[in-house]
Amino acid sequence: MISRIDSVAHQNALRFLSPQFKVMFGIGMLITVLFVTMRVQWLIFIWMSLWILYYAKVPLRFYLYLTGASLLFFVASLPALMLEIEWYKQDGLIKAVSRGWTLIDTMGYRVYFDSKNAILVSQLLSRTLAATVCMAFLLLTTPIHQIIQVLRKWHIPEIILDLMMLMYRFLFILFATAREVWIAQKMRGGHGNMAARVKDTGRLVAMLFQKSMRRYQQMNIGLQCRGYDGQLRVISMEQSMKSRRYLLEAVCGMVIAVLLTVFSLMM
Amino acid sequence: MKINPIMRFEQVSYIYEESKGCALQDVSLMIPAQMRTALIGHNGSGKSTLFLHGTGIYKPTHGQLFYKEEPYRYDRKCLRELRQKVGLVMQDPEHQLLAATVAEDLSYGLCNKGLTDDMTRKVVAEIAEQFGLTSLLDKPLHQLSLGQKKLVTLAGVMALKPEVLLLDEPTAYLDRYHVDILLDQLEAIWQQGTSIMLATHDLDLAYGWADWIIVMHQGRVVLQGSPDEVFQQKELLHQMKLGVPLIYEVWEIVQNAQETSKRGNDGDERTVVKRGYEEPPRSIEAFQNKLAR
Repeated sequence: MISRIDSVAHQNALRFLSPQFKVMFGIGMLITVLFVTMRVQWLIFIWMSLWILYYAKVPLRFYLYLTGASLLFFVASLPALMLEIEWYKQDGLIKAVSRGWTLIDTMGYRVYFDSKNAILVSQLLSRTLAATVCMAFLLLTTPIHQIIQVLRKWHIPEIILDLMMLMYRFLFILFATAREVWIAQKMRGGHGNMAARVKDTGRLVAMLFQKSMRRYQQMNIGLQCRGYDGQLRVISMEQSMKSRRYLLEAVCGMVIAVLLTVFSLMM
Repeated sequence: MKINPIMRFEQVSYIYEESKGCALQDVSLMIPAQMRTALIGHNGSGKSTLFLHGTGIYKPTHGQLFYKEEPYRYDRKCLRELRQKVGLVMQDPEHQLLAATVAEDLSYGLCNKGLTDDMTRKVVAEIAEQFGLTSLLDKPLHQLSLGQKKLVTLAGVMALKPEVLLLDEPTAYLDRYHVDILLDQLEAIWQQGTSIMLATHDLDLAYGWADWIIVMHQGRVVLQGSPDEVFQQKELLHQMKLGVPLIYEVWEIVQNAQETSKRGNDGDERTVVKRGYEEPPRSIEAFQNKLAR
């Protein structure tokens, strides 16, 4: 998933649009989502999807997969949000039960669905979807190194940016190493059944840790050889493009979203 | 032939903290200035440890290193200066590539050197052009092939224009095509006046490419000299299970066969005129030319 996100970020149609604009727009919309009404959140979801699918030309299937995967966390929290448990029989007395659609009723306990919660869930869904799409816009249109360059311009502490860069650099190596170890285990009859799978996964993690430590030592030497003095200073050669048309649409969209919210609150 | 050393090791020994054995034992050698030196030896013979001494990463337990006859000093400032002059390309490029994209990685050493952004961009563009990496500048490093990664590592080191270039098994895991590209680049670097030292297991490569060869065995320098001088010590090289280059061996077989056929033709051993020692050819083309003659 991560390498797919990375390759989409490097190949989308908005790739050469100013990263500063994309980061500000993505974060701006993310903040906007927190304050606007539910209807406006749905509108933002549709509008940002248009940016991702039509302007950036991100493949629809991958976009659905990414938002769907993110929504799984929301789905996982649904039972806790929608269902209520009530103990209505106490000392042989039956208390008044709350209104709602009963799902389970046993031994004085009642699990029910409260219709009031449905409103809460729909509010949460609209906010989650809109925020996820704003984040997806940022991730799918802006490669991580461009985001780091923007954060550097914003004077975010160097240590955080250095760590971000190294994590980004070595994440893919870690995945590749894990895959190699996994293949090696499979080729030698590993991961045969559930117990073996657990055991082999444990070995894989232990091996990854060892390899990471060794790589860290070698990387340390590599850094010193290249004159490391406590900071990973690099510069980018990329020429970014500024587009008035996109800027205008982004600003107008944000203003309209805020105005719609103000208008609906006044009504 | 007068040989002028740019770097010299004098009775250098080194013991790793975690192991009892000596990684380097009384190593005395020189890296000749503006020459192509090959360092050959088995795995664990101390080649990589030697390179890490050359860049000042390791400090010898005993002995002394000299750069242009000046002894190494291990304070921060001197080491920083040394690493601008002595570049090291490690065997695994993943250990040396640190940034997100090719351009950013090429700029890393230049930024450390204190160049302005404009100057850095100019040098990065030039070095990318020289190494044929211009089309890859914006590409993330994890999307490159091994051959491309090795080239980026070399370009990143060469961006600093070092006087000495140390390469630890640069051709390991590379296909013929990428080996040829790499050797062409090394040739160009050498032509510009950089002294190169390359560690390799490939005796054919060392024989065809180097002007000076150093042989290491179990942490010691066993032989050093011109390729012909070194490979004349056939017995010793066979004892160390290193052998000699294929072209060298074939040349000997051909010469012996020629002598035998002369004896056979006139049938009288006394008429055989022993030819004086002729240096074996160092490439297939030279081999063919000598045979034709």
